[in-house]
Amino acid sequence: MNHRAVRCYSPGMRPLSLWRHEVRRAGWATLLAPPIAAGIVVVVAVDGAARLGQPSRDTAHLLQSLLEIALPLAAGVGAASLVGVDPTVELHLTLPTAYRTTILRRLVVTVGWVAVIALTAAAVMVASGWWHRWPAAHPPLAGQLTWLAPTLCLAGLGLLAGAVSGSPATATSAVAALWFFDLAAGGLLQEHRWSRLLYLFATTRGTVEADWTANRLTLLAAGAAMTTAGWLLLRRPSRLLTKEAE
Amino acid sequence: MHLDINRVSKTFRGKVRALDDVSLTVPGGILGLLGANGAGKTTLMRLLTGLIRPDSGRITIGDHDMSAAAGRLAVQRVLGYLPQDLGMYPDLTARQFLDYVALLKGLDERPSRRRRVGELLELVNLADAGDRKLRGYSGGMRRRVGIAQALLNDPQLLVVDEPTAGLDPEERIRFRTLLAQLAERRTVLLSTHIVDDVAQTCTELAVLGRGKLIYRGTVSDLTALAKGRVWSLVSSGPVPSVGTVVAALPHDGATRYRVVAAAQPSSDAEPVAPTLEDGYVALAQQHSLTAAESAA
Amino acid sequence: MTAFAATARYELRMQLHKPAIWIATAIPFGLFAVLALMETQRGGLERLTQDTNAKLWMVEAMGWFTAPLAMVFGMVLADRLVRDRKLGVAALLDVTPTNRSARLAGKYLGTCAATAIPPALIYLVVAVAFAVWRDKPSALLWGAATFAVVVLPLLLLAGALAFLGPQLMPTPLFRVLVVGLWFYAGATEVDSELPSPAATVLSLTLDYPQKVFFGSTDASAGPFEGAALNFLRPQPTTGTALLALALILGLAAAIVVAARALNARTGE
Repeated sequence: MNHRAVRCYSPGMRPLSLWRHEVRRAGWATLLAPPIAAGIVVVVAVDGAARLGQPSRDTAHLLQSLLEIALPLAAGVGAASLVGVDPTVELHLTLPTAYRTTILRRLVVTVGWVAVIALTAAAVMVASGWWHRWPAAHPPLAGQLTWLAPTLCLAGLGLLAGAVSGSPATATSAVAALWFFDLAAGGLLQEHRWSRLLYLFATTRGTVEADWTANRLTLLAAGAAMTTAGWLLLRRPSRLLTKEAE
Repeated sequence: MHLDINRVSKTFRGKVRALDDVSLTVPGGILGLLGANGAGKTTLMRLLTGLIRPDSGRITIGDHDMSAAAGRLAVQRVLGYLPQDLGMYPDLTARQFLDYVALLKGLDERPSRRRRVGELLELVNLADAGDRKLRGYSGGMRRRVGIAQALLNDPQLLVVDEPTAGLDPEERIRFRTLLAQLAERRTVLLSTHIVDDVAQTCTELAVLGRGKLIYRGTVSDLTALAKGRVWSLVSSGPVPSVGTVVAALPHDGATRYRVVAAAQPSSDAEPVAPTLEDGYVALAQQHSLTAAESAA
Repeated sequence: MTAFAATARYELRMQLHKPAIWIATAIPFGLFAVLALMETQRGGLERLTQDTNAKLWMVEAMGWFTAPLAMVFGMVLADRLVRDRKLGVAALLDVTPTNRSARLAGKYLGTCAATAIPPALIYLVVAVAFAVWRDKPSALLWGAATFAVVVLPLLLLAGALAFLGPQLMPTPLFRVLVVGLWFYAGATEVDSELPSPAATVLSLTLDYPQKVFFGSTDASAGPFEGAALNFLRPQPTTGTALLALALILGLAAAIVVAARALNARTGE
């Protein structure tokens, strides 16, 4: 046996191989969900446009909804599914690579993939002219906050809820409940400034125009805060060990 | 690598005292750790690997204080750990799984990492099956993958919890030989229920009982504890009620019992030479007696 | 004790001890409470209760809580059937001399019963509060009726989907799809671009029973001019309300049967 010391821990940038492994950990379901969501809406939108015989505002609205409503949900559920399901957690917690670093890496993969799909969809919409057919759409560059803000917010919530509960079921429920609540109670949430600032779907479901930028920035900040809180909570490995296996 | 466990206690959920004021020093080599279920062995393993923190006391491994985050990280860099229940990713092959763990252990250079994985698959006799998915592996094969991952970073401290569970006799012998070789240049802590694993591999051992350290010494001394207390008798009647029956074999229509007892269990019982298992049973009897006397 | 009863009892006790279903109930209830406070600020609650009878109060005021509830439980229960395999007890249970169908039925009903208890308690608390506040003890009766007619059938459907879905696809994907399904079948507008099951006998807000049995003005039931799927929107009558309930319960039963068949085939 080779008894040479192979201790070569190197902090800092990690090799691509590790990222490739984490993409694999995300699972094909997580990677498929955003394109499926995108595909369904695109098919419906194209079908709707074809039936109506001309590009419609409703179709443009649907395409914007893909960005602001469907993709962030996929990111939130993906983030909520990161904690509490890893069969190797006990081993991983004894390795020099911190488990929460691995979780963060997987979060980047999940959210990053949603971002790739979103940017691709947005590029197609801009190039085809669909982007500007929705009156509330913002200029293409700033308009990327349409999906980025709710995506980071829901992903942060998913991570935090997962870190608190250690249960993907509970964490996913938190993400889904908030998502559903914002969709169903949109009108009421527009009546107060504090709730307008936290409203996930300000672009497609409407808001006071002057509040749109503040709304997007508030969601980004909330997402960052929740991600940070989740990160801090994942510091104690004993919390993860005591959670019952799902 | 020197291990110093100094008056360590750990209580779970305010009620279960898993470890109670345990002090233990391991200068190097291989130490066997025996104990019944719930004795605190796994808790001790988890404390040494930095998975959990003690409620009181101090653990020092090498020059590293395990109460400090930097100390724990330094130990984890030179640690190989095989948990009792090692989960794996069933969709990965053994080679892919070892590659992933190697990356997490900091083996970033691809050629040396791949070489290392190949060497270890050979070592645990899984080279031919290395590209099959883990979901198709038997329990013994999974255990061997677990052993391989523990050795990826050529650890200075090897902590193995029930390593031979699920291994067939040949694999078990092979693994014991490997452990003995590994102990030449590093510290190995072997936690097990299987007394024979300790008997065949270790000269030193510790025994935990109800969270306390009830024995620390050599295998031969623990075996000697049962000297004059091990009996063989044949009976066609009820199981001997005196002492602890450690073996029962059919014998010419009756049963031959091997009993550990302070006094001769029956007039026809013959004394026999003790084994380590007998010594362990004698220790358990003494400890129960001592605890009963203390309670009274 | 039969295998059905033993399994149901175990699932009920096990689920009630887990924080997940309590948290899953608390989250929509918390959001509902926020909404109720906001309604209060604009006089909504006062307006709703001023000359409203207890029957209407229980079905309309609790609507925000009820709407996402079954969806949330569908997500929480998503791995209940595959859990036995993951924990390694499936093989052990399968060699016992028990009827597999009975065990699955016990698991299903025990699980659904457990998920029903936390929201039932909330309904009870709200009903008691209203009964005392408006001096209308009939609120207790209408609370129980609302729960039985509007909430329970949807919990049964969500539980059935949670038994089938994760056998067909990874659990995270199922969770995303169940959210989409619940939104599509329960919260889309009747006149939306997408053909919508809203206000049909297949609606996941059970508009027909709400309108017919409780007189809810929030529920939309009946044909809608220009909308797709109007053939699923008969006039709201006692018969069509019962049909809506039967369809939801029948769908749940069919899904459980399918889950059982798939479970037997995969040998879990």
